[in-house]
Amino acid sequence: MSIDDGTEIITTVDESTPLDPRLADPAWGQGPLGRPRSRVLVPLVLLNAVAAVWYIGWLLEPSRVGNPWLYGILIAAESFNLIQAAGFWWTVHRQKLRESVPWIGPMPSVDVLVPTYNEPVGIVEPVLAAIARLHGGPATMWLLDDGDRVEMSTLAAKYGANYLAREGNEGAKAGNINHALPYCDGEFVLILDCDHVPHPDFLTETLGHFGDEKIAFVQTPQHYANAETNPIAAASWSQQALFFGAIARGKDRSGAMFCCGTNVVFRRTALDDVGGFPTNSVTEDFQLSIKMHERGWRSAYVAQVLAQGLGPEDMASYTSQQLRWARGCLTAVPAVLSSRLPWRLRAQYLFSAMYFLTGWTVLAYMIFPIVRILSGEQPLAAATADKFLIHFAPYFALALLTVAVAGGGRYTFAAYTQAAATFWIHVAASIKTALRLPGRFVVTPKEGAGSWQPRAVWPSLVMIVVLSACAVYGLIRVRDAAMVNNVAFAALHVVVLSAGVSTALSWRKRR
Amino acid sequence: MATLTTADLPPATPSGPSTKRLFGEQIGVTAGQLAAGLGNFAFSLLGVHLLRPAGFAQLATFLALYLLLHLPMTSLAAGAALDPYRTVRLRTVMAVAGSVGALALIALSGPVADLLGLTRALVIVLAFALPEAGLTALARGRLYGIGRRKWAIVTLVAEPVVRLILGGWLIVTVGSVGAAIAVVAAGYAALVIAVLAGRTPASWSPGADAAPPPSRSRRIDTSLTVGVFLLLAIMQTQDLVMANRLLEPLEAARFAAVSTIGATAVFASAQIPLVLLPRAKRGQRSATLVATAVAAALGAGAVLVVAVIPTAVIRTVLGPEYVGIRPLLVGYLAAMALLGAGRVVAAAGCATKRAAGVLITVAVATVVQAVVILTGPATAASVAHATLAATGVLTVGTLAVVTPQWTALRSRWSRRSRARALLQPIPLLVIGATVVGLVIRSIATRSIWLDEAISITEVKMSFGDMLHQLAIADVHPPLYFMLLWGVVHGTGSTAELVVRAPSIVIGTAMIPLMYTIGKDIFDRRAGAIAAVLTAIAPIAVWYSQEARMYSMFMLFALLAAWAQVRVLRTGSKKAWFAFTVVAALWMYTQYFAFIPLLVQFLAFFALAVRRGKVNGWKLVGTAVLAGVGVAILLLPLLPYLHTQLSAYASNGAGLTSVPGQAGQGASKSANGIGVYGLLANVIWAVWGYHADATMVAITALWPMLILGALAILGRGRTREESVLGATALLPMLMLFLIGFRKSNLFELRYFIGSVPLLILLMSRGITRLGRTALAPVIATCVLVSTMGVGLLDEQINSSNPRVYDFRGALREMESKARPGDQLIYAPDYLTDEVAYYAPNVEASMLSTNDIPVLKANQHVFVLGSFLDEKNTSAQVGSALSALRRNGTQVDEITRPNVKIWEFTK
Repeated sequence: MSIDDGTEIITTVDESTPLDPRLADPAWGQGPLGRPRSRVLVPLVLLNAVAAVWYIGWLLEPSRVGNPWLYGILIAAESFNLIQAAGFWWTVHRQKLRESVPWIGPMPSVDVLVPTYNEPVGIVEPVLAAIARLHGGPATMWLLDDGDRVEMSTLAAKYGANYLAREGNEGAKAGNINHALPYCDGEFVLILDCDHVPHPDFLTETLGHFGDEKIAFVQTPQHYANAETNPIAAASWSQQALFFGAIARGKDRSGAMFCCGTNVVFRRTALDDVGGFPTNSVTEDFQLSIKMHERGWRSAYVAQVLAQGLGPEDMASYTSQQLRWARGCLTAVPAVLSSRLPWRLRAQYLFSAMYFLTGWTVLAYMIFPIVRILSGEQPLAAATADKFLIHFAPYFALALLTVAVAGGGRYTFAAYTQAAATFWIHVAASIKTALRLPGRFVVTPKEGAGSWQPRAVWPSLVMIVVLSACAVYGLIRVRDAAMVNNVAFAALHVVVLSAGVSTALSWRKRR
Repeated sequence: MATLTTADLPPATPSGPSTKRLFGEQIGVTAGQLAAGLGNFAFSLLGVHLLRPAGFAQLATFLALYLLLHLPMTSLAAGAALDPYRTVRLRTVMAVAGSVGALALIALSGPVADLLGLTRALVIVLAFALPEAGLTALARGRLYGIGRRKWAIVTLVAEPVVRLILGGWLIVTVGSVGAAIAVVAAGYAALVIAVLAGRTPASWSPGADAAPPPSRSRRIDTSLTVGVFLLLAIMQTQDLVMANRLLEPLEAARFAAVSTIGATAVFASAQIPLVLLPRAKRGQRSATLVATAVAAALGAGAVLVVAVIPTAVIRTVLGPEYVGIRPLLVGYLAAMALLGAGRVVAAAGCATKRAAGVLITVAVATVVQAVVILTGPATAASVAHATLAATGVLTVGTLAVVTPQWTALRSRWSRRSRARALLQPIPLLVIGATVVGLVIRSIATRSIWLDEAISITEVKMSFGDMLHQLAIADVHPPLYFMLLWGVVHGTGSTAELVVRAPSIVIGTAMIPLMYTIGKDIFDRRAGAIAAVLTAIAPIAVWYSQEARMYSMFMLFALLAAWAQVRVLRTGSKKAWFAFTVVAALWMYTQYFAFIPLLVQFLAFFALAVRRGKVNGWKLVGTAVLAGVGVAILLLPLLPYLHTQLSAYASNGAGLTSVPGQAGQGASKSANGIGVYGLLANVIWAVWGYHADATMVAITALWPMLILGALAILGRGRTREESVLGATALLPMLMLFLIGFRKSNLFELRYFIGSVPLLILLMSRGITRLGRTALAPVIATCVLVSTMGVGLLDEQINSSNPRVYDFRGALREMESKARPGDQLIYAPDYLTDEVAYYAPNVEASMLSTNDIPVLKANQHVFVLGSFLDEKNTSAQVGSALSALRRNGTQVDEITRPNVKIWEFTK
């Protein structure tokens, strides 16, 4: 890895590195998230707008219509992407980087809740150990064990934490937290997933922001400490870095930062005001934020890595996590639309929720070359590639550049391919949501990475086979420039999908 | 850069002799050698005067054979100078071997005499020289080895003295055989003196001759040194031998004359390496510098003398039929100067444990010389050029071998096991890439292109006329033309390979330079990949084979980028100075250097913003100072530029009527320049020029660019990558935008400086591809193989729209044309092309001359090219129909993009 001034950062792990990456040093602070770059982003966003008008305007000319069905799909896909992109540009063009605010007066009481279900002791123990070392006043530690396990009870006792278990596990994580709230009496509640190790300064860096009486919660980033050692966690972190960097800072500026479920401090009165965590969703945090914002509470975002967790270590974990997020966010769309939120907030929630429809556009783009190769039909007519390129290339290049600049270079090719290769998750989640098929809360696995998991990526594998077969068939049939161009598109998708699924097809045992 | 540690250097000798003394030694020995040469010359004159012509011819042949016999023995002298203790043992071996050889020659004297055209008596006398030749060389070499240089001088001078005294008497009494006896006797006299002078004095420790016993590696080094000098002797003589066999008698005689004069120059410096060897062995590096300086001075002096010698002198001394060799003399003398210098460097290498590398280099040079002579045209000029090329390889190669950085690298290797060294073959890879690159670039098969023909016409003028012509009728700055002028006037030739040689050399030099720069800016792997890619990069190869300034443009672009990185890293005055000078040289090469230079200066300012106030202003200040420096260096160019601009303003259309480059079709869309044009230029930059159909298919692969854009996401970038990227891409984009206004300016040649930078960046990108070695290896293989295929298609496929085979068409036409035949051609700008390939045919432009009326027995040839231009095709069309009315078409010569119709009455 390297930073802008050319300094090489050595990322090799030597023998003195602790075994648990969450305890390693370098990821704390703002470093992993980059800095707001409004001076560059504002002109870039303006250029993007011009390029978008230039491209879409050209695309909408009546003479562009080739096969009307395909054209319709293309316009729908491009429109969706443009809306998403516009939302992104709007969000990131101005960002809020909160200064550290000290807590005035004696430190308030804080309850630290650590919900757990089936995670092993080795995962949870460093979290409790770190909570015990938190600076900034009395923090009461609660280990909320939905697994009702003796070893967790022992662990809690070891670190002086209160241990709570309940009958059944209704409402999953949200139900678990709600169950604990009546036992707690602190002014603030810190929620930490049981794999997120907090920095000693967690409370001193966040509590100060509650000086504003209307602040309901202060969210901090969710960093994956295993990103250095695991490629799937690395790609996931890279996606997270874009969100917890530019996007979250931008949302904070719009007052629209939502709760992400962990590494977040709540004002107890705000939680009580909305009746605790909603239990009717798999993304309780998203719904909770909507409710709080609806009731006039505000949110804050501290763009500092103050806790280190573990990202998904294998493809099965990643797809299960993404599926849960997609289901949860898409389920929340009606709630957003029917909410009494100001339009700005509503738009921000919609942009975030509808991101999980992006997979449809990926699917559409993959289908175009297949249809063209097999039937000769294509969405656009009467356009030379030269004309298409002169309109499309600036739009695409600027959009990509904006992502790179906004993400401070942290959004990687691997992050893109991993997201693109799980396009089918968005498709499946939206179908299930539309048909109201039942979903269930699956805990993101924290340990035990499997490296040979073709089943976790089978839809992408099928797509790779179909695209490759079409490409070969097309080249056998005709080899003119138009065919070569479509085969190149097919090849582009094959490479992207293959790169995305490659981590699920490794014979070597990871870690 | 390899780090040089003190352990890597030869042991220093603080008490080594002063430079003055070293110069004294070398000049003394050289004076002795020159005196000997003069003595031998006097002896020859004596023979001329005292012998009958037939007798003198016999003596001359005898002397040539005697020389041929002694020349390889200098290798023994070199061995003895390096390892004088070994001569004692070798003396016996050589005496026995020489005696056996002599007896054999005496036994076979009859047939040998018939074979050589000598009298039997002379062959027998020559046989007696056999034992002496080796022994004298050994004894004289030993004198150098043990530091008795004065006695060595005595032996050198004694030989002609004895020849003259004894010869004067014997020639008169016995004739040519007597003269020969005097020659051999003089050799023995020198041997006796050398042996006596080289005896171990009684005061020395007992058994000094036997001890110290040489180590195995020293023995090997000595043997290799003998091999090196043997090969050098072969190099010195094989051109003459081959010329005698391959050339027509007159050409052979001309070359013999050139060779004889050249041999004088190389004879003068023959003893220098022998003096140097023992000193260099003791690590006295100043001795090497002094020896090189003396050899170079002798060589340069000889070149200078020949350069200024009036033609009348040559006519008087050699005869009128030899006046034609004048243009060859400078080149051949330069070759001999290089041989003299190369021999010294080789000796230094042999003395400092680099004999193996030197041996390989000399062997390569020798083979190059033989191959070029055997494959080139059967002319004296071609043979002379072969020797020039070979001695160039020798000098550059030996210099590379003895350069301390390489030694440091090698010694670092030697600490590791041989297997480890083999597993880390990066320097070998780079050397291999350079050799492959040179070979590829030397196989320049395509015909001289229009612009090249213009270059040739211009540099054939006198220096002043050329500059004037460039100022009033060209649009380029003069640096490249000055270099080409030097080469053309130095060699006296405008052969294709000669005029392209500067580009070939520069293009080849870029390969190791890419390694050095890639290694310095990024790392060794990136450097090595860059070197390999440059060796086969189609565009780098294409312009390394063109007698235009674009190879130089690439070189300076690379150097300027390197200098800028050094400036940003160190901020040193040296780096700023280098940047300023390179920037100015770049501007003297091509005005379009202005655009990347502008980007580079803007990069300084952009980076200054990020450096904070103090450092930022310092950077800005120094950059402004550098800009002023460049401007000052460019001042001499101003009047020249002014003249060019005035000429351009008054007859601009005339200047731009020559097509920028053929085959731009693939880069143009229907309405002028477009994104496809940009893509085509990017593809050309990496994969070379191809047929239009191929280009359309390749550009259709543009979705792969999306992949490329995605692939660089999140790779991060260093300051170096950003600066190189900006310098490579922004000029391209700027010219693309300018191209919308003036489409002929968007042309790869004008941003060709981007090519080496893109290669560097691609190499860097490859090394950063993945966590394992697999991805970089695959990427390198993909790039090398696709570029290789691109290179082959570009160089071989005749449907490449940039291939115009004027040579093929005009040569075929010229072979048919008889006196009185006429050639008419269109468009007008083929004038230089026609003058180059068909200088003996009466030719005229179609546009300014009437179509000739065919006469009986007269043939008229119509040359047409660029027939896609309306005017040209109309001119050619009307000429053809007029001639068809007037006569009959008898033949048609069709070559890529060139056509000739032949008519007769």
